[in-house]
Amino acid sequence: MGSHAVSRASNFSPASLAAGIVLVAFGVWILVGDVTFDALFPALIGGAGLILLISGLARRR
Amino acid sequence: MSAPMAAAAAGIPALDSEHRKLAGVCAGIAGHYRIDVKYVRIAFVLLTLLGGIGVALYGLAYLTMTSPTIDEVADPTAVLHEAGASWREAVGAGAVAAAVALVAGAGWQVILPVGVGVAAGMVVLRSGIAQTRRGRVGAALMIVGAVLVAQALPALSQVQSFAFPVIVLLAGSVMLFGPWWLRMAQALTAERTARIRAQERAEVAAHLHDSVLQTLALIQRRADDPTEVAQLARRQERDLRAWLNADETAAADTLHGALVRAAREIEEGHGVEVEVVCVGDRPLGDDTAALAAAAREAILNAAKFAGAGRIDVYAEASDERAEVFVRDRGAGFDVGAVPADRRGVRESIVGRMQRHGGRAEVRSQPGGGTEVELSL
Repeated sequence: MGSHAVSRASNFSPASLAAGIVLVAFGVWILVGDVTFDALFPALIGGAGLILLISGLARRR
Repeated sequence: MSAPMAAAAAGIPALDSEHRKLAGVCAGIAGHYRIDVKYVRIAFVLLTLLGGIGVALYGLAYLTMTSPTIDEVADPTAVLHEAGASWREAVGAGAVAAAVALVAGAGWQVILPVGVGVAAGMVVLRSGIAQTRRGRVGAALMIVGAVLVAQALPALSQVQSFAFPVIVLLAGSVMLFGPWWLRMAQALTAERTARIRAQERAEVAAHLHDSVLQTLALIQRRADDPTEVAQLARRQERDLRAWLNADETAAADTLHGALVRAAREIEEGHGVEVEVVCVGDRPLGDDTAALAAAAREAILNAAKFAGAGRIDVYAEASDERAEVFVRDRGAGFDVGAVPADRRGVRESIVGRMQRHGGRAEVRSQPGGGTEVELSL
């Protein structure tokens, strides 16, 4: 297990990183409050789009 | 690597510049599916009136249809990989753009065209199709059409609400996956064609080496013996013809197969040319095998005694009846003067046929050649 650490460059996934950042941002936003459906809907679409976009860009390399 | 027009022949229509009104898309589709071009043009016009989808589809077809001048073969794995990256980029960029438009407070009349347009633009930018004039024109048509469709969707959805998501999904899927699906199909077809060609070339080379080249080498060594050279050339010609025509008659367990085998054997053993023509055929049973054996004996006699360079064998066979004629234009003989102890004609031909319910007739005269008629 030790030799296959997730920190190895070959195991790095930009899409996972983007997904993590987006989820953390959502979490912080919800915790801070002031979340409405009207605001959440575009944020969800944009977040999903961002993850896909980064995944696609990373996949091409 | 190149395989000109391989994909077009295998199922993807090619642009028809000869009968074109615009880019040759309609004429190409009509020619490929053998329908009247006017119906295809009417369909595109009607689809264009339906929110502009015809323009998008025309652009898509223009981009993806094969061209008579295109001979590039893409690597299927690379195309698949590129497709995987591109749909993510396109959907992602479209979603981000739609989200920005939503936050900015735009209505669906704006959000949908913006999202679809950005997605389509991303496809064009990232796939490299805009590098050629054809790519630019096709992409522009596709994006204009996609934006028109997206603008018309909310209006269409008021007429029939269920059509809204269906059309969105359909148009999006066609736009995103269409080009790669078709390119993938083109690449796979071209690659398969190239592989088949390579295999065929290898097979031809192997056959030429094993047969023709070996025979030529033998002919060089036997150059001082014209009879043997002619025999070798004849055998090679027959083998080559059988191979070229995929003729497996000689291996068949039928009257025709038996006659061909006998002819070959006697040709090789006696250096005469034996030409077999067979109309119809029937499986080798007891009677037919006897007929073939009698015919073989007649050919062998002609090869041994007639002194002719060529023997003709003509056979007609059906389920009810079988006849074989063996003819040569050699020395001939007096049928009545054959000594009683010569059993070749009397037993192996006439007697054998009679034992199996058939008939044999030998017609010959000195200097006039010989014809043996065998019938069942």
